[in-house]
Amino acid sequence: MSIVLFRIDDRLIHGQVVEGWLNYIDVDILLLANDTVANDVMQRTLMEMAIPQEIEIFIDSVNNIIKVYSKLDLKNKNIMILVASPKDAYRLVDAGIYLPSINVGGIHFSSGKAQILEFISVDENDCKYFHLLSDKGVKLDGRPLPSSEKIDILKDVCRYESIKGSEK
Amino acid sequence: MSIAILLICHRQMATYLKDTAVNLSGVQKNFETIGVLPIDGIESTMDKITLSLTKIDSHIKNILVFVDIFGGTPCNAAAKFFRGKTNITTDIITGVNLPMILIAIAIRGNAKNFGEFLGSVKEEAKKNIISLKDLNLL
Repeated sequence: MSIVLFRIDDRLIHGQVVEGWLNYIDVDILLLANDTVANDVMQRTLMEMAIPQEIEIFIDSVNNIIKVYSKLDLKNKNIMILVASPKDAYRLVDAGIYLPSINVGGIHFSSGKAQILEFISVDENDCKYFHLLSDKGVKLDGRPLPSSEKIDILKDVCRYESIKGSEK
Repeated sequence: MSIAILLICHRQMATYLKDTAVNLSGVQKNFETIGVLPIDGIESTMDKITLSLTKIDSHIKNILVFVDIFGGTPCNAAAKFFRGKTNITTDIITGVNLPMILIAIAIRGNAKNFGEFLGSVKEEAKKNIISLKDLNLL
């Protein structure tokens, strides 16, 4: 068993994931861990329908995905993990679902966040969990698509924090 | 019955599709476009939908939403936005193409029934995907 992609993307399953990543990597099982979507039948259905039929998909809360992961027969399977936030990524990593490099594919702007890259906006909580992931030895590979240039998100997070710190 | 059209696509696709449709069919009222940019998520796309609806005549209760691809952010945001809105009758059609926009423009003025109108639009969309090789023209 191996995790072939661990991605943070607040849009979860959308065009970039289906057209960009799933055509590029070989995935047998997709584990989508999100507490909101787990309880939203419409969003779940849209996401389940959007991915190719040959991929088995589990959409559940973060805690349940951790349980599913420990029970599934994942032998010889390529696994993709998808979460919406650095916090949810950390919850999985902390439970032992680990990949040395996590793809940060998109965290979109909303009020209270600051845009640090075209596709990444963060608040203090996001920064905190990026640091915690980094402390676990995880590299943060920022790029929307497999063909995009890899950006070390931690550098941008630190630069943002130093600018924000100097404003105080 | 009046029907409004809302076209939501990634990037500039909606703007250019409408521009092309208008070039062929003439200036359109109650036809709004939204571009979903790399910085947009589902929430900001829903905000853009709210803004677009303010530009549509308030008496119009039937809205046909076209989106570029099933499962993309335009589709997911529109689904989330319109679900449970009881004051608007709507459908979201994915995989928008120029023929389906042109037919929607052409027949929306005389449509008597929103369901039949949708049926005609979907039929026209599929009918217009034609391989010239299959027709022995190549």
